[in-house]
Amino acid sequence: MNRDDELLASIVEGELTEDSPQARELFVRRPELRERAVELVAVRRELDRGGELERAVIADSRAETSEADRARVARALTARVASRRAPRWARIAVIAAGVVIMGVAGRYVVRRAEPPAQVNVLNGAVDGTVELLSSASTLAAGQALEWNARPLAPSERFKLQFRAFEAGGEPGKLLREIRCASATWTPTVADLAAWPEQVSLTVLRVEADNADRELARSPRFSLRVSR
Amino acid sequence: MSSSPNEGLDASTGYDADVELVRRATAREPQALDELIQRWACVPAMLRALQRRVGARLNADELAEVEQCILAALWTKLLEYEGRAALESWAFRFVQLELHKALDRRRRSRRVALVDLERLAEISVAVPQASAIEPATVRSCVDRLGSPTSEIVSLRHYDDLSFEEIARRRGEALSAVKARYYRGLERLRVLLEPHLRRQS
Repeated sequence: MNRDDELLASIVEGELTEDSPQARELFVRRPELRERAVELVAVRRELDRGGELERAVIADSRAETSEADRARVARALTARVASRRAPRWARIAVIAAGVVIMGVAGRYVVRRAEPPAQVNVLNGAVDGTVELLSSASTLAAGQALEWNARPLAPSERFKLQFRAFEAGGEPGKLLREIRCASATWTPTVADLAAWPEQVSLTVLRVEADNADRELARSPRFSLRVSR
Repeated sequence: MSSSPNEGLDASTGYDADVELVRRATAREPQALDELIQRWACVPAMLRALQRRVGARLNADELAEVEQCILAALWTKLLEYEGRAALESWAFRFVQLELHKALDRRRRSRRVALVDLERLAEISVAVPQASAIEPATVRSCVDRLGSPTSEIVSLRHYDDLSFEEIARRRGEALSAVKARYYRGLERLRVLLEPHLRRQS
């Protein structure tokens, strides 16, 4: 501390009054120190006040402590000591489990927020497979062929592809392709006249206004043609 | 129970004996726990004395609730005790804080209750000392000074030691202790400036 700082400290401590010759000389020479001295004295007074309050309260409390106080403090502290914290490894395990659960939940939430996969609407996890509702998987003239699928959007259509049945599971020759806006189609005698006894059917969901862009595709169904 | 305000204060750097007591108590040594209970047995009386001095009047239920909050906080924060003050002084800060919170809660609820004219006479409102900064605010600013400045300011004002005693206990030159103290005071002036301005 330089000489001015020491003088300021003496003023703050009350060893020098503000109207002492040294203080007056300091404030004339460095007027900015006057305001600083006033503020430092205010800070010191607050510290003194806080210290006095603390000491007085502690002294009072020591004189006033009763057996009942002691018993309550003992009860409160021993209860807390008894409720031991879990061991460190257990706390780490709980935190790790929490992180994993949050991670899984977070992925689930993100997945739920994603738009539905466009190519799996009929055949994937969202809508399941297209289920034929017609009995005995038989195709007969005048009998409606029905299937169960999520309703179409206005811009969507179903596209039915009938192919000759191939034993090896290969797609056979395309017999007919039909577009319809509802989940049902009724063949006529003429439709079935030239078809073999067994055909395969694939139901597609297509975007009608976009060159039949395929949105989803069902598995291939095997149908017996009844004439 | 000692009646010395500086109980636990060592000739070295601070309250090493209290730090050691806390270490043993948190390790759940029965003897240390007993000693800690003896030291903090004054906490309920401390709460009563403080509320009397600040002119607050909590009822018995409110006092009991605040007391439990203080004891819970003391145990929970015990590992954070660094020996910058005696255990009683450290506990005093919790008493101050929890009482302040309780009075604040009560003031908020009273704003609504004041329209109840029948109960108006029962309501006692603590009148704060004119142009005074909340002692808890000053204390928390002292803590923010960091070591060793906060210890020196604490020893000077809260333990009421002279600069010579502080220098001797810390094994430092008197001039070094004074220089640190005034640097701390300057920083406190900055930290407390908004409050000091409100005062003036």
